[in-house]
Amino acid sequence: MEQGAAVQAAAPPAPPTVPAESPGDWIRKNLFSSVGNSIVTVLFVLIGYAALRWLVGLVLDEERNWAAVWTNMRLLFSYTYPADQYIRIWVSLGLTLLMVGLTLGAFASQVRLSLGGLLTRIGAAGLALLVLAIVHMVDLFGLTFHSPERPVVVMLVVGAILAAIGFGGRQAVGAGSDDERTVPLFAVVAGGALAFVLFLWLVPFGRYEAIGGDVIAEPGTVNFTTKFPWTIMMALLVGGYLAGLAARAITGSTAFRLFLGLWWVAGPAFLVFLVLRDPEFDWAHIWSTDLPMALGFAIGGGALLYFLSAPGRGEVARIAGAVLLLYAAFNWLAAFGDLNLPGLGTINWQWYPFASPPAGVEGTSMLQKARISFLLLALVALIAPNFAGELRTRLRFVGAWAGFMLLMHWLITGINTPSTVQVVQPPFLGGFALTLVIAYYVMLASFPVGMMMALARTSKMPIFRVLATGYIEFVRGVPLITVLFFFANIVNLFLPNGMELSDLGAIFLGYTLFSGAYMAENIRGGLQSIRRGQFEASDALGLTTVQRTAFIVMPQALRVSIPNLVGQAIATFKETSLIAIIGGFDFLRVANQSVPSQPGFLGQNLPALLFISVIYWIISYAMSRGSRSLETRLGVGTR
Amino acid sequence: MAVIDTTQSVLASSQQRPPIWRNSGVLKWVAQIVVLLLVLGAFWFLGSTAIDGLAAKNLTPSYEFIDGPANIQPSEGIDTAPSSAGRLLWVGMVTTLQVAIVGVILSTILGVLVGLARLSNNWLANRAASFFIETLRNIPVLVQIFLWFYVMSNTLPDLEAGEGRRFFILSQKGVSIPRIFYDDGFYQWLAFIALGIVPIVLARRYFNARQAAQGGQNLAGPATLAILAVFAIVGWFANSVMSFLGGIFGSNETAVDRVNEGGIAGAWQSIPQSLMQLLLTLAVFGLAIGFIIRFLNSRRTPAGLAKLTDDDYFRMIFAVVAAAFMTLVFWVLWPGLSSWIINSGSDFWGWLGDKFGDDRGTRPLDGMLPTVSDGRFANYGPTGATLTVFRAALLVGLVLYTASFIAEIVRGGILAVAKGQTEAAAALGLSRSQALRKVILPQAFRVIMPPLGNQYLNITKNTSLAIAVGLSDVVQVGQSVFNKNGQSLAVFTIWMAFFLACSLTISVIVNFINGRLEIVER
Amino acid sequence: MSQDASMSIADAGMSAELAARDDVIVCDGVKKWFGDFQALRGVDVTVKDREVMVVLGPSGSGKSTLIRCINRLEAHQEGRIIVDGIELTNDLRNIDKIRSEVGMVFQQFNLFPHLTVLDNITLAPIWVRKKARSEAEKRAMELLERVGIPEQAEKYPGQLSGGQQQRVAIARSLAMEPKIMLFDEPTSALDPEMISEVLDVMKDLAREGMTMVCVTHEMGFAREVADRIVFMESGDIVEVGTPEHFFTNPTEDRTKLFLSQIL
Repeated sequence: MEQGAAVQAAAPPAPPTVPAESPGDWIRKNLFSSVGNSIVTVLFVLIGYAALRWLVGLVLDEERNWAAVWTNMRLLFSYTYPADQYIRIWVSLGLTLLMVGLTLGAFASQVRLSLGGLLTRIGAAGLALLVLAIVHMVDLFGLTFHSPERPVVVMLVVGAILAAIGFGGRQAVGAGSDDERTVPLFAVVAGGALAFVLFLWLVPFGRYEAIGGDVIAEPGTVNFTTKFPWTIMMALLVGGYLAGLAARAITGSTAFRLFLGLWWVAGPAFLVFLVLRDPEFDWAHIWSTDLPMALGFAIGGGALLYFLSAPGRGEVARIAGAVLLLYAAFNWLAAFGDLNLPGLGTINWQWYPFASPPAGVEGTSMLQKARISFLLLALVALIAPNFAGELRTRLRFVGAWAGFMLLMHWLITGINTPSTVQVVQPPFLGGFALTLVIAYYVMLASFPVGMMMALARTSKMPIFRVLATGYIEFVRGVPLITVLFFFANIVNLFLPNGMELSDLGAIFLGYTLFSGAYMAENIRGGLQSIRRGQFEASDALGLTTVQRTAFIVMPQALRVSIPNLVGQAIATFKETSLIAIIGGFDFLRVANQSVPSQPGFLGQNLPALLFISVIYWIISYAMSRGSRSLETRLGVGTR
Repeated sequence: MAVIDTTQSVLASSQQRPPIWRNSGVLKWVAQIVVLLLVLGAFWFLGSTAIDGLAAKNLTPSYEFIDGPANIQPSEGIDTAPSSAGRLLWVGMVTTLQVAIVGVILSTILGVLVGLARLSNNWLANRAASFFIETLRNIPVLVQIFLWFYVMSNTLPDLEAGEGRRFFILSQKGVSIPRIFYDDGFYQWLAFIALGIVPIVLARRYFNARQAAQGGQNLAGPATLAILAVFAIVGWFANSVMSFLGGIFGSNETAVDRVNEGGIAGAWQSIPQSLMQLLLTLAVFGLAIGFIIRFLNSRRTPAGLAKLTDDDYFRMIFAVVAAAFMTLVFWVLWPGLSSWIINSGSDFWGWLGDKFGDDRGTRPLDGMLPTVSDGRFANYGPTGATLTVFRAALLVGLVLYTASFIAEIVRGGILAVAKGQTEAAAALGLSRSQALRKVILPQAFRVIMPPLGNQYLNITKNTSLAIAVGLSDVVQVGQSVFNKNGQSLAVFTIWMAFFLACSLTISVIVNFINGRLEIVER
Repeated sequence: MSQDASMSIADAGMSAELAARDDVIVCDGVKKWFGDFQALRGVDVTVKDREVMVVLGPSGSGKSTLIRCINRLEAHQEGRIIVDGIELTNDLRNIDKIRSEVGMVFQQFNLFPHLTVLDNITLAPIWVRKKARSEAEKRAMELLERVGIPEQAEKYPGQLSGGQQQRVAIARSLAMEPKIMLFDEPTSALDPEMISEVLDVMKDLAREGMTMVCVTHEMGFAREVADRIVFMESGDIVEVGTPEHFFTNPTEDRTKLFLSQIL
């Protein structure tokens, strides 16, 4: 079924199945225009027949126990997340879908789809199902598969209904009106959600459940525990869309877009680490230590930045930034306790109250988040003069810093607090959720890495260029799996005593550094497309290098690189599956190992693998289509 | 008149260098050097921590395990019972390269076919190609490899037990076809054919000159082929005359024997370590001085040397500092490097010498049919070319996945040149296929080549996914080695070196072809 | 050409009134190489307050390089340049000062294509001059008014004609309230019918007393507006004089040749 959809989804906007001329003419023109063409047609009919027959046979063969997939949906998508806490998953998913709806409402409210094209696709999907069913019934080459009758009948009936709806509707709408008859994206989203909900409640798909190792597969609609939450999810999606349309009309687009942007950066982390992980906060410690420290950095740091961002304090800010940077670097060194320099002896830092005490000695060392905050404060102080301005600009700058500090401290506190969720394996996430989270955050985190490296590689300063080129070419020359092996097995050896990376943290770090090199190459392509005049005009106006990069160069470069960046996002998403090799229970590992090792489904690798292929395909394909339409939207006009 | 006064007083005073903290020319370099020192310092600090940590676990990183016993048997490969861990890693490398090379060839053929089908005006071919591309490129390659593995082992027939030779075997355990392999006399035969270069060059020169002078058909191509054929045929029987080369290259014995027996291997072995260190030092200083000379030449004008900026001086100083640092590496930090170069150079010549030894047979090539023994393929010795199900799954997965990308590259490349050129070709009266072959493809090739090279790089790197199906490629083998002996750092550096060498080779080849194409175009 | 001769050339063609004004730009023996190509071979020139100086010369004569050295888009390697009493060196503080006091208009406009016309103009006042946004926008609208295209404020540069774009570029430079304006062939990339609208804006500027250095091929403009004309060839200043002297009675053969080719 999904394969049939693939044929159609890949079709260009011009619908080939409803030509203006008669079907006979169309076939003659497109399939038998010459002798060579006819031979090609016959050849491809045979190849297509064999391939489809084989594929359908493979899927429907009675040796494939698809109950392995249907009973293991929770395992596949959330691994062993405890059932009594499952409401957390639904809340996260619900919030995400709500935000998807809001974002669509805010950004894609103008998008309209051609009604004719839509109907043609539905009809063609039905036709494809019919073809598959017929191909399956005709056995030319003796590709014997033993498959039950029922799926074939279902395919025939569903295919006929879809084809009737599609082509019938098409006739009713009238041919040749593709450009005029359009439906808003909202109608399509809402219609899709409604169709999904109806499917859940009405279609006798079968009730699958695994209770304590016993597999239950009985006729009926899907489980109540599946269809009820999903109905709410779909309602949230549609509701979010409507809210997005309304919010955009009321609040003005800039503020609302800023809110959405912030959510998509920080929101998922909030869901993963605070909702799904459910940290058990020690409130006494929070009131006595964490909150005062966060406020200290937000207010104290803010005051410093306010002072430094006044016009004409450039040199003061540079000196202050450099001093802070030295102090921050010193904090990191002191974090190692007494520093043992090979061949040079040991440096003792115990006079410093925040140095890590030697092993076995009681004492307080500085919290890691304080060290990070000092480093960030130093970096922001260094660039503060670039964003100096009058009162309002400065207040906004300081406000952004304070907000960021509070958010960061809250998140780090959450991550460092033990989780209450009882899980079988240490990472509380697994399956598709893990794949999605890692892919999302690797894309996000590799972005700054890639940007820095791209800037360094295109810089006029030879040492930066050499370092960046070396890094990029080295990483691009080795396979991801070896990088992941290195980080999963070896990286902890490199870290000094007292610092350790969790397995997932190490994988995340390695994958980010790997992805960053590819990101750098993509962004570099964009940077190189910017003409020299843009640099000269910025310089002539007196913009500093940081301002030039932030306001002039990067916005243009990123716009040019969008197609490549999306391509890389797809690659990152797909290659997350390599985590399965080095031991993470991601989507692939669950499908390929956890499911087929259950007593009831021993050796049933194929159904689960085919199922996850379809999920991977849907997401990757949706991303590439989305990027293509984004490209046309940005490419059109002068923006 | 205030401004006049300041201007005049500025002019009157001698030009002042700005203070260092505001001098952009100096600050720029200070920032770079600080960052460089930070990076080097971080590497040094992390590296020494790692070495200390490993030493505490009695695992001081070293490469000595390479000569030690293998302890592990690869599941398949050119040698299933390797004598040492180094040999084991070599077996893995060969497997990786085999899969990569076959993968590159097959995915190129398939990708070009699909790409052309995607451009066809036959609706069915067009849609089928589009289906192929859009399906395969959007599913992770690792998932595809697993899929193919289970499809093959779940749906293909059993390999019947018993002995037997057949021309073609397709089974759960893999595919086997007749195999042609090189035999003892192969290297001698190659050397014999290489002798043909001299007459070929002479003949080509003669025929080219004759064609330039008299016109008519150029017989250089046919003559080349004819001479090659003659040398190949004569060499097939007479290749043993080349065995004298064995003595020239030297033997593959122990280091002491090599020196005694002479030949190139012996000569190489007897280079003293300090001489090699000196040569390396001279080489890096030569490079540095060459850089400075070229740099100064680029600043030389008819009116004398251009004024050098701070930037220019920093560049030259930096070249010398870098050379000095490398010298430090050669003499103090890593003196073993030079002896390693000596030993492996000698090993190479000795290995080559053995291929020409007197006691070898003279038959260059041989062939065998697929053989089944005891219900499994014989994977070493007299048997056909067997693609085990592991290798087949990896290969099919990689080829289909990569072909879907190559198809898009081919299509994009052809579309990029097609528009005006197709019209021009049509105006000249060329048919569609003539236009494609003579006008469009040669031009599209230039557009296609760089991204195609990237795909070749990808397929080579993706062979590392062999570990998923348990095929003994270099990564899988390396992982089993460090699981046994804990030398993860050393194995990791070997992986890096191997893959970087592959990447470098591919980019060199692609760049070379690109360069040729551009010259042809002009 | 001897050093003495070139020194005298720098002040040639100056009326007594002009000579009495402040020196705003002084170039003293400026030399500049690109690799092994010498673009400037010791240029001496002085620009006075409120003076309009037009630089003429064949392509590759170093005209553009000279004015790009004046706001340090290119660094000169020998000699000295003093702008408004500040010497151009590697000193970061001086470079920042010069850049905000010297405006520049380019042949290819170099507007920022991803920003609206208004944002193009207000960007530098806000981030370099640290003005309030409202104030910067008010000033920007005044300037757009002055160059005659206030209705285009919300458009993107790509939606404007070449002449309009160049006028936006002039407004963008003026928004920084510069003391000196440099024009690098501002009309060369324009269609003929759009040249006059840009030249009109430049003439207005000259009339209002802006110090201007213009590299241009517009002889009519040079004759009408310039206080002095400088003729350059192969990195040297060949001749300096009033427009009258230059167009009616040039002394140097090379100048005569150039004029005969171009007029």
